[in-house]
Amino acid sequence: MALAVSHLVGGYSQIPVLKDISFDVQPGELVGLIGLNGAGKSTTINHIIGLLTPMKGSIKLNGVTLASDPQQYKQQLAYIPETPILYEELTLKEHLEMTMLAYGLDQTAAWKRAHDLLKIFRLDNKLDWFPANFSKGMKQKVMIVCAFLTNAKLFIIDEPFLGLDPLAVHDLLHLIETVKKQGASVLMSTHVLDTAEKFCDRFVLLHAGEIQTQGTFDEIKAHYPDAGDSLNDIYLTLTGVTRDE
Amino acid sequence: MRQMLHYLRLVFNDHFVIALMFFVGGLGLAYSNWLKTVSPRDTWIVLAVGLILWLGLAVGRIATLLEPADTVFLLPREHDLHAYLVHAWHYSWWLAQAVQVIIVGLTVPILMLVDQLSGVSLLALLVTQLALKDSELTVRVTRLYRLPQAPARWLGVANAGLALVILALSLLVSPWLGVVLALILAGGQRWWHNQVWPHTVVAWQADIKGEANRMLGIYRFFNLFTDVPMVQGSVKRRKYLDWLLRWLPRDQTHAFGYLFTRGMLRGTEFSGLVTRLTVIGAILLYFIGHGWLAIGLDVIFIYLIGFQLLPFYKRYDNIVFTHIYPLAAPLKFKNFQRLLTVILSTTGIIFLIAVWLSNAPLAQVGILLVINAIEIYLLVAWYAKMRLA
Repeated sequence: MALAVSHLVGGYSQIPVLKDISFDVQPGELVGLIGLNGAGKSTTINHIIGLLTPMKGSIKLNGVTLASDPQQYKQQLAYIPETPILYEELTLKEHLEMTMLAYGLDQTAAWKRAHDLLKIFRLDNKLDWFPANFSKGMKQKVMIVCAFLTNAKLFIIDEPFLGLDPLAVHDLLHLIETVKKQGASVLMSTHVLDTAEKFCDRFVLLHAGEIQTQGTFDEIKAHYPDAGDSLNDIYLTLTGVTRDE
Repeated sequence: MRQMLHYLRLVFNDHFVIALMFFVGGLGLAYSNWLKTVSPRDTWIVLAVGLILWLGLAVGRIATLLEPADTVFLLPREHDLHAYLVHAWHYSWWLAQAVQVIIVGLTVPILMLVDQLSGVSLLALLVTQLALKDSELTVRVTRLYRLPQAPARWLGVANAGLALVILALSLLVSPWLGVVLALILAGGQRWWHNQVWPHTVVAWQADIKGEANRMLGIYRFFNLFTDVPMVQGSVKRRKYLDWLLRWLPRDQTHAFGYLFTRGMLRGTEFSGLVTRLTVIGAILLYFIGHGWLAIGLDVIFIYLIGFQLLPFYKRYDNIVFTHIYPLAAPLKFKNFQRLLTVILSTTGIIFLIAVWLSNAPLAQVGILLVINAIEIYLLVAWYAKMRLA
């Protein structure tokens, strides 16, 4: 089991946003984290990447918690934020080098990997530019390249599809497919449900800080036979149900 | 205006007042020492004074306080704007003329020594300078309006050229001739302004740009001493500094050092601060050179630089990756200490060279070296740790 979140209660202040959340991500699996704005997706992600400390419950990455061995925990994790975050003073090349240094990667092997990734995302001629001046989509590509440079066991991707051009979306999905085959796990939060339906192995549907349902698409469909045929329909029905309450 | 006072209060904090006292005292001392060496035969000094007075004329601009939104909201009442501009003109006039009085006042001792000017002719020189500044300000107001191409281009240059000629005449020929000519120039500029403005329109775009530049200049000045949100440090590539980075170790334990050094060299905010204070300190030390004053100045400048660099430690805290890198927690602080040591040592060495160049005895340079080393050690190992870690 790569990522195991069990009975997580947490949030930013004293009032918990997440109420007793449990789910896991297996090696070689892409899990979609689905929910409305404010459902608790980002809070969950912030807990997993270690920005927030759980009030109750635990988050384990291959058996390690952040408290027991922070370096070992963080080494296994790569994160792609929803809004690209870049160092203003570093060039694209230096962003990659910074990542290599921080994760202690072997420079030669990492650069080989980096050049492949840069070519895929058509950034290979911009190595000496400041990515802080790039367009949003290009900044996002820099984030993707930095994340996939590491040999992380778990990739956390926050809403990757907005702002990327269709070709880049396709390439990203292909990359995810590749790391899955190498045994890595991917947890991805998104609102683009038809893409998620096609590519995610399993889903975790969050609503108001609780897990409404989780499982494969077929399992969820079987669970709510009247809700519709697509993830979109099911999702709308489910949130609609709670709206009526 | 209130914002200005707010910044002034921040600028004149305790540390700065101490440094300023040293600075003014040091400059005054150097000036009076230099005056003793001046003899009546050094006529080139009179020319230099003329040049200083002429350059001094450029100090002081019109504060129009125009904003971009004014093009939208004030456009319909453009004719009434003249009354407002006149008001701004008068306000700026007093401020600018006060500065001119100070500039003339500073040159008085030289002129008395070298040129043996009498009190009355010094007064004439003051009036000349004030009249020239008045004409210069009138030109600035006239140029707030849209002018035909030729005057727009030549008005400022011509006025500055005439001012130079008048200053030269008053210093070399007769102060009284200068007064008469300067008053004629000032009157002429005012007359022409009244001829021009009713028949043209306000040059909105240029005025707003000019005002923004003026404010930015002021904020930049404040930003030397305190953080002004309006002036955000920009980033420059500075490729010519890359050789400095090649010396640094590149491994996982120095990842933050990799980030810090590049951020320091390329961001204008902190690198500018270090450069300015180092240059000012070195110049002062060169002039003062000897004794306790130099030691005190050296210690204070290194402290000022070190203490103002501390916030740089938190420069990247809002970048989430710095929290999720698999790096041991103390590494960041260790890397920062290393950077601080390098910067402060460089400054310290530059200060030592300045003192040494001022013909201070070698023993004193040696003492200063020891003092610098102890101070830098205390700042980096103890003070920074207390404040940050």
